[in-house]
Amino acid sequence: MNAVGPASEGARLFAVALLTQVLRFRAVDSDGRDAGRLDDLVADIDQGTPVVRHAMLRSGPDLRRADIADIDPDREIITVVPTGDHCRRRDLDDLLEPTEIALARDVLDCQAVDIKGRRLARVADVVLDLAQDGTPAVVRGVDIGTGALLRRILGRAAPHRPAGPRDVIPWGELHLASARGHAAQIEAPSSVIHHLDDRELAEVVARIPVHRASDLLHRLPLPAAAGALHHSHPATRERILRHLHHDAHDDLIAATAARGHTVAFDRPAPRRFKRLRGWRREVPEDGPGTPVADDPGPRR
Amino acid sequence: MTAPGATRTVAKATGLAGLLAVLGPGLLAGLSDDDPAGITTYSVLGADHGYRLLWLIVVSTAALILFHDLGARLGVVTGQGLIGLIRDRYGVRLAAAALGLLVLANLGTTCAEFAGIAAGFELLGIPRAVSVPTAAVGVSLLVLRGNFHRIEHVLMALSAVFLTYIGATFLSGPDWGAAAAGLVTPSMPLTRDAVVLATATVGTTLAPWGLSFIQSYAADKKLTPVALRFETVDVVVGATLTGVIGCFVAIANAATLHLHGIHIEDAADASRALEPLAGNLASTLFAVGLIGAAILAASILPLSTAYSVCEFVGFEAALDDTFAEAKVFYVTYGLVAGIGAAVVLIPSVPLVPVLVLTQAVNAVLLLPLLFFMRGLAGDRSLLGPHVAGHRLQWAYGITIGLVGVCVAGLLVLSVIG
Repeated sequence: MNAVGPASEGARLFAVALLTQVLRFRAVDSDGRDAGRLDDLVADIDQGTPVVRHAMLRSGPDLRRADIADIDPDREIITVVPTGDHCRRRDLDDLLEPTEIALARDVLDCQAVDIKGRRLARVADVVLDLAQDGTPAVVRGVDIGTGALLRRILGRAAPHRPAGPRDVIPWGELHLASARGHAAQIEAPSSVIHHLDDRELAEVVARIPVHRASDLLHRLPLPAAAGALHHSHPATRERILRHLHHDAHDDLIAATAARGHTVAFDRPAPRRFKRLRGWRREVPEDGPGTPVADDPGPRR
Repeated sequence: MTAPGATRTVAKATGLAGLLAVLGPGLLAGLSDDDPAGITTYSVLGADHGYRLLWLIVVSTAALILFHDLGARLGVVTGQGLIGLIRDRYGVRLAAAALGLLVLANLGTTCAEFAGIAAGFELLGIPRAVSVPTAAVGVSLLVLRGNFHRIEHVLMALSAVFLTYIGATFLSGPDWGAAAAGLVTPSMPLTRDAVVLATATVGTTLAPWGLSFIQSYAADKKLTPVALRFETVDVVVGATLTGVIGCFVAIANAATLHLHGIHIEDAADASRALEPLAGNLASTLFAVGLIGAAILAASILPLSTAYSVCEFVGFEAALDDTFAEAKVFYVTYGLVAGIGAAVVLIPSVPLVPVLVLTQAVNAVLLLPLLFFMRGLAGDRSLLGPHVAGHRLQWAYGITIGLVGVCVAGLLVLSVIG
């Protein structure tokens, strides 16, 4: 498999593989017998770097959860130990812990915010480190490049196009915009979203749907959330504050008001906040480290 | 700052303002379905069958309400367009196939819109060599140079041109009793032409590009789930107006051309034929309506395409972005508008086969898109509390079944000859 390559980090040897390649591996049990078709890999993001310890196997209309014993990239075999837990595909969340995500369902082809690159992207593949010392595989980052996209659509007919410097985003610079990914990252205290400065957080909330942004902010510590709103574009800030008001998150509204940003909730939203500001990315206008004006105003 | 308990009161007090603020996606997506192809279909329906098949427009409108409401809901709750969601949930290859067909179909339909612009202006004595390039440059400049505010208002103002069809219908002196009976009494001649017309009526009302447009538009308008009840009103109003205008067009033709046994091939024919029967004003109103409808659709089709392409590859794109910030978006828009106009202007390009192929691609694409949407509607992990219940799922299923029967009938008839 030509896209899987060896790498090393200190004394530890591992192979770099893509999720879409690993999903084509044959799943076998400890006796080497077919264990079913591999459907997804489950990663726990509780420890910061997502660790892949479980797999989901197809069993008719159901999915079966299995522990991963070993991933052998040379033989393209993944050895699993079924746990006995199973569910319908639509109920997959029932089999996942709050900080677990299904990589194919919740990351692959989903939108994600590249926090450092300040952009919204769609994941073309997930880059995995398959350790060769018996430790579980981990998620290194995601590939959002056109090369990975073409490879998945055209297979071997795709023109060879190596990943560019902006194509692979490290996991630590990523916030998932998918419903489950977003919720799991909020749930995991070590995930990147809990360690961003105010400006980086403002970049994230500018790029996800308003209801997710307000959900994220009200679950973060008040100073961080109020700081993010302080650094947000005024239109983004008002939209989120109105949504927070609707959900009665008054503590955050008060904390934001203490920084000088108030909204007259007893009056209807100005039309522009509902109607005229669509198709506009109201991202913070300052670059990293630049002092932020309180009210920079619209870009045009 | 008001107390939390005041939220509901404020929401009630701001109901009308909220509705006015949300209006847009449903209106534009609905009304742009009354494009030249739609006007032609409704005209032929009235001219060939009188008031008898008006009920088809009612059924199509109901289907339009169902799926535009679903599209808007998907866009608002997930913040993503249809092609993006298909890639998200059904994989990159199916999404690539859907996008490929959508781009192909949209290119062909854009040609049809520019052909409508050419035909409409020629009725007013303006040659296509002037009208088509002017329209192409005009819609491109509107999008390239305008901001969302200006663009939405121009498009909404353009929609007002559909009122001309209502005027033309009253001038044609229809038999309102017969029209009312035709609206509520289903009957269907079992002839090839009638089946083709029924399929065309469903197909022109429930178009793939309209489905992708309403979802992208609702998502990019940054509406929140709180606004969904207003968005539903917007969709119902937009789709109902679409149906009402379709009915008026069909009634105008039924009251004049059908009575005199005149067969027409397109909407421009209808406008020309109306002149001796309903007067010069009715004919002119019909032509102006055709031009307005074509320009509205010619603006929205490239937009729908550009958004779908950007959603698929994952690029951010916004009408308020500069060209440098959203190159793929603007280049896609310009290419679709430019190719659509060029095909109409180049005499050696056979327009009729292009339009026939477009209709076929639209028909082929519509069914899988509806299946995808139905699947997405039932995905609780995606829509949470806004997931479609059993009744709605049944309604989607029945609609898909009806569309499937129409498409299958059309394919069988096409094979038979």
